[in-house]
Amino acid sequence: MSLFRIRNGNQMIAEGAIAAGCRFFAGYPITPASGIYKFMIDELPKRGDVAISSPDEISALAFCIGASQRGFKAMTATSGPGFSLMVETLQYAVMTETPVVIALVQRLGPSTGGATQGGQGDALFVGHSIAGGYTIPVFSPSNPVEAYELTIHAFNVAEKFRTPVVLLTDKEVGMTSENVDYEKLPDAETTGRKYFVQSRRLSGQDGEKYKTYAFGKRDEVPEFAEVGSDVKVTITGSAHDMAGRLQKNSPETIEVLRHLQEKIALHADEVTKLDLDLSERSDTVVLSYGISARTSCEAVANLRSKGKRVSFVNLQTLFPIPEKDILKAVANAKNIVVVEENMTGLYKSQIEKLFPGKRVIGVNDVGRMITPEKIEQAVLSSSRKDN
Amino acid sequence: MGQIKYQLPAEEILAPGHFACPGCGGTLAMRYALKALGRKTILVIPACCWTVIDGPVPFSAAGVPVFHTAFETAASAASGLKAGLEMQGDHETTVVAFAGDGGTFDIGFQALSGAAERNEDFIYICYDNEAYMNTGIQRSSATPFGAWTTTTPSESPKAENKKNIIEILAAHRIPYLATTSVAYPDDMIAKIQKAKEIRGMRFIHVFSPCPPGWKFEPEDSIKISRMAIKSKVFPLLEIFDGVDYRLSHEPAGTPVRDYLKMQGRFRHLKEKQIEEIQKTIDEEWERLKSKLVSSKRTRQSNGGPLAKERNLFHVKRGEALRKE
Repeated sequence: MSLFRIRNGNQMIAEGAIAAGCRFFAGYPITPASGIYKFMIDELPKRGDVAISSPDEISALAFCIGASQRGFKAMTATSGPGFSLMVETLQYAVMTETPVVIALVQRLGPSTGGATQGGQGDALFVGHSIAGGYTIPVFSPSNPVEAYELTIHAFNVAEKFRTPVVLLTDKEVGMTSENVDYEKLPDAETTGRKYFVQSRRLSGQDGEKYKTYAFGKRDEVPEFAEVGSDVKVTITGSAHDMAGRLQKNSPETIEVLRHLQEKIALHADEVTKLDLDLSERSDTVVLSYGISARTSCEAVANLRSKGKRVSFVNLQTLFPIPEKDILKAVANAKNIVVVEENMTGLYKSQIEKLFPGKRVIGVNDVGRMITPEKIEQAVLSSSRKDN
Repeated sequence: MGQIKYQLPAEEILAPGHFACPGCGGTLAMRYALKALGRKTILVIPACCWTVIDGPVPFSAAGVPVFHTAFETAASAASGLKAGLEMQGDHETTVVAFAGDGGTFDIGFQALSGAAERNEDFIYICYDNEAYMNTGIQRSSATPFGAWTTTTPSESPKAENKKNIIEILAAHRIPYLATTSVAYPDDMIAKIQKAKEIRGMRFIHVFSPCPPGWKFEPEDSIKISRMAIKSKVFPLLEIFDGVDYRLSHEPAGTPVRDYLKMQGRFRHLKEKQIEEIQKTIDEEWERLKSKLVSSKRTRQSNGGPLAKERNLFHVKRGEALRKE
């Protein structure tokens, strides 16, 4: 049985969010992300949940952080210019260990850029948006079904690791409608954050002992309690110790800062997801994400029909960089082709150091989509050089 | 309005071939504004319909230099531009921020309030089409109570009243504030020409209907603008120094129902909601009337208007730099 509906990536992010248990959305108009805002405004109030219009993007993310600190799964959606405004608040979410999901539907940048022109120029901006080099998970769906699945995953990761998560799509994935078979959508497995155990709250004395940012080992995630509940919760974007007291560089504060990085980095295996389509004895591996993964997929199919042995990696996770899985996929290949719609090969610059001794080729374009033919040519000319 | 005899400047600075929708109030606003401002003008335009209307580079319909800036920065970029001109000894060029309601009432509000507080020497023109039209009709804080937008669907239309930007700016005590409408080009041009002669922060609020956003036929744009004035939805005002209120036109006070019924965005309204809107308009008008009366009394005791030329800090700063 099939149940087809016409859906685009934006709508499926919204549906994925609701399936994941998102009960709060704050939006601000921006092309090409407004579809998510519109969907949430239409759907959440029907469920008794909240979707609000904010006066700017800074407020939109701050709204979400407020709701999240009262225990609600929260999301906002924007594009490059709006994300630029959100960055301070995004860093605040990292520092306060606030679960929140931001859908970033890319358009041509920089600045106002091309409001109605697609692009994939934000991967490094997003991946390196936290001062100090802290990692935030960044997922990149390439079609409506992946948008749905990865949104659920994004919420789970946000909750489990108490971190902001970015869903990085682009105008083409977000706004292009296609058939989606609802019967084939996976059941949503959702997780919530770990709360400070109720029984330990009972006596006032125990209540005093709760520390907002306490962890055992550095990579452990602090237990959550709502701000204003029966235990003292101190939320601050300033460097702090485990109790949330402002301290510049006490040993405990430095431990908290290291913990912010390690809770993600040491658990990369639980965070990252990749879609691997490997051919045995392939000499070339194509890696791509977002809309370029769609065209890469077609290019790989065409090459295979011509007898080429090519493997394909759909980079559903950009950060933390899924090193292990990428290395496994490219182990026997001589040529690695990284396809993305930006000027210089942004994500390629992040991963090429993983492959010493291999030929790494970027297929890039800016201001227009990359065609399957262009990818096929790059693959064929790279293997010609081998002969 | 009949008694005002005004010759509109003949020169058309706004060129044909722009990208506006038919019947666009924001484009008429630009056309009349440029007639009043003349060619020695630099426009600062944040993200809004006019980002698109002006045309793609290298084409520009505006006929004067345009400084397209980020959504939240019109008033700040205009402040910097004016300071730069002053530092170069250019005291003639008029700097005009030209922004929609989203960029004025919402995301650009902080910049606007800052510029007003510093009494920056430029003109801020807000063409108010009462929603984010360029991104597909999302509500802004300028959207009136009861209106449909894509984010205030007709099952739950906007529940809040429109933000009273004029009162907020009056509270900043800027030298000149005016509201005007594209239906009355003589009023609009006279007010912008007056603004041009005043130094310091000047704010012009232009009521600018949007056929696709408000759901009416383009040929009704002017009719709807007139209805908004006649029904007291949008009073035509001048405020000097934030305290001296003058009414430009005494409206007939036609029922707001006639205005609402012309627009698809109000189609879902029930009789009770229309009555509520009428009540709000009547109450607001009473409040305005009391301000007009007290302004008149103050004027009479002071023996003249209150507005006067200001000493502008950054002008002095520019002059000091030039001397060095």
